[in-house]
Amino acid sequence: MRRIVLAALTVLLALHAAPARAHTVGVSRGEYRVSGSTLEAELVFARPELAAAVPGLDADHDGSVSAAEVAGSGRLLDDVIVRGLEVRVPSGPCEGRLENAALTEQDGLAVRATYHCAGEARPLSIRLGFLGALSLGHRHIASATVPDGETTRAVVYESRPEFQVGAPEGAAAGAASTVAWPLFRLGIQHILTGYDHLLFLLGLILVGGRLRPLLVVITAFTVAHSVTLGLAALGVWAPGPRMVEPAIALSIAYVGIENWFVRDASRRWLITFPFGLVHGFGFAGALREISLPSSQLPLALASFNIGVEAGQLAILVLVLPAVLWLGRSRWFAACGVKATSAAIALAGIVWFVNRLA
Amino acid sequence: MARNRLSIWPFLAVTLATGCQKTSTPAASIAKPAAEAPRVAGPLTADESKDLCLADPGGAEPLDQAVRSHQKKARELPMKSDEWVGVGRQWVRKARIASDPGFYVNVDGCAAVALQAEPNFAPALELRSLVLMNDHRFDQAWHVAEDILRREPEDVIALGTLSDALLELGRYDEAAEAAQRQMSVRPGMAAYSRGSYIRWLKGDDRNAKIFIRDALYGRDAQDPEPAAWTFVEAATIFWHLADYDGADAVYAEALKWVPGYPSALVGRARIAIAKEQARRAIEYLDKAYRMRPLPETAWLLGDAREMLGDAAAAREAYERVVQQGRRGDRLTLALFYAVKNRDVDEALRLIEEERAVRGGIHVDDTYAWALYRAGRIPEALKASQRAIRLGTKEARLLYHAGAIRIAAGNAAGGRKLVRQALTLNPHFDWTGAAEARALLDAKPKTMATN
Repeated sequence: MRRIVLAALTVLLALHAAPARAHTVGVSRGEYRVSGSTLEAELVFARPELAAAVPGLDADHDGSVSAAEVAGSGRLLDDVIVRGLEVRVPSGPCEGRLENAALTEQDGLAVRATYHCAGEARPLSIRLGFLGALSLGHRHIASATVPDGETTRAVVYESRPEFQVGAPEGAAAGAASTVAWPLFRLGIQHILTGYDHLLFLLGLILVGGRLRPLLVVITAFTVAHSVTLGLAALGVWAPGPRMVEPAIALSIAYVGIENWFVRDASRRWLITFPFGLVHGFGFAGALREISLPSSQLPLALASFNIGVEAGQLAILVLVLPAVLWLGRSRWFAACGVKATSAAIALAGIVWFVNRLA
Repeated sequence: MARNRLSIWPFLAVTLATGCQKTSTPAASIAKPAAEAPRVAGPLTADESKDLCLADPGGAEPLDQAVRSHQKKARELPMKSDEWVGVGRQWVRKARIASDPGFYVNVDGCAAVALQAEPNFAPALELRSLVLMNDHRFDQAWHVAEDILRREPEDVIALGTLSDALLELGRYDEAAEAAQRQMSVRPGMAAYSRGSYIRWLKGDDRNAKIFIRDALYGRDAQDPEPAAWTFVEAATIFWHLADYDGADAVYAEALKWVPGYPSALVGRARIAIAKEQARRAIEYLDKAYRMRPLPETAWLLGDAREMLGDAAAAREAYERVVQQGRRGDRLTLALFYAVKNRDVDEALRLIEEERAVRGGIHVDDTYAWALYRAGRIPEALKASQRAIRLGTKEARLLYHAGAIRIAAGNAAGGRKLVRQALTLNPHFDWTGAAEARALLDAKPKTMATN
């Protein structure tokens, strides 16, 4: 059984043990302590890696770094490491000063520095500007503590060189552009591959005849799912998927069955709206899996929702003209709608049973 | 590393490194401690391993979601080693697709957590062996793979790692045997592509093509990166045989599977340079370098700029080769210095360090060429003999061997090899091919070490 569980990606892993060009990747550690307007930092590197990153540190070029070389390299370490570590508080950058540097056990080299800030050093952002000089792919394991004992842990690397200390959760967010576009795409992807939502939408537009009531129905669905998507994503309230997923299936079955009896869709938005609320919780499931930091949520939420709407609109642009055109056919109005609706209802029931199981 | 070797030939050295001289001294090779620099001061703690495994992958691509989804399961079921391995495997995918070897540190974190819960858990050891390979700790990777295979003789991943590690150590026959075992256990993309590479190394390009074609039958649209990688491998065989149009078409196919795939872009750039389409090459290389700032990419960029007559821009690119090479790619940097005939002492120092952890014909070739540039011809000759002993059809190896023989006084034998190199791939390298032509044009008396 375990083997079955782990069977995934076997080809990938077996394909080549060392992907692309392997490089020796370095790891460094950083302990950061905030106290008043001061940040104390102690960074520990593997000596050979730091020697390669700080030209002149291995002054005698013997391939190793001695205590004497470290003692004589204060200015170099200050230039590369202390100044490379950019510390900022909201009021501006903090001034860094090398306290000392010393060899540590297990071939390490510790650099200790103090940063003085204009105001309270909290919240503060720490950016490791020297990562580009270390080995390709270098990882820095940071652990930062503030006076009340809260510890922030982060893994920092060249393409994510910054982390926050004492800031609201998630403030270490990346640039807006790294969130908006992927989330927009995710929204489109979610609706285009969310066959249950699409089937529900198809059920809604099958009956109605005229364009205006259809648009009202679609708008009600859109507004409703936007509301609950927001509520769920912002953590206000969200029922669990065990409740939401069967409810979505039931809504599909309901629309399929109702299509057999409804002739005029002008008041149908009254039922579409609450169902839209349920579907919104379903959309939120995709966002929950991403678990974005809260500071990015508004942007992420907006981007994702716009993506969902864009995908939905694209489907409607393709399907709605066809449905309206078919609606003119007496045969389709008499038989086609009922047959399609029956299929939709059946799919809804099957999903409902599956999701309860 | 093992795989890209094929994909990036001039720097193949870098990539694949295969060696040979160690075949005769296996015990010494096993016993030799890795001279590789430690990557971290002291071992990672349990908390650090967990932090690395559960680090946020950044981004919101489907792959990032997959990482997070597996992390969620690992958090919910922390005692289940499988879950930690599951996260680690997603990090492997991330490392490959993002072309960032740093994600192997995250893989290592996951392997450590899983192994803490279950010390001999084979899937976690598989991850560990991949990390060791990525970290150039080939002898350790070999031992871990052997350890897994003692308990699970048909472990496909361990067989692959074993074969790759042995290749990197220059133990070709054993590597081929491990690849054959992998093929018997599970014929497919992994086994066939490995078989193809080994055949190519041995000069059997016909069967290399057959194997790589068989490997491509196994491509899977659900997991496109292995297919892209295999296409790059296939294209590289065509490149070595100077079928530039064929190679370009296959690199283009790789890019259909993974748009912007750096290895494929670099391959296309190399072909563009061979066809003297420098601007096109620069376009590809700029794109590839942005994604993966490797020294060989910068090297080609410098060559393309030089081709356009922009000496200052070429210098800037060559400086990047040095800068990136110093970040952990000794082999490419040593080869670059030797090919460009600059910083020869540094080239020798780098390649000697590399030889402490890795063998193979490309390491030997780079060593030979650095020795040749340093005027140490007898030593260069020995290293060069090792570099071509498999009969590999690679123009660079042949040219270096030929030039060294000429310098050693064997003009006829040397010229024959240089001619073979230019026949095999007339534009194998901007600098090397020009030198090779000049060498053939020169009168015998002027043939001397630079």
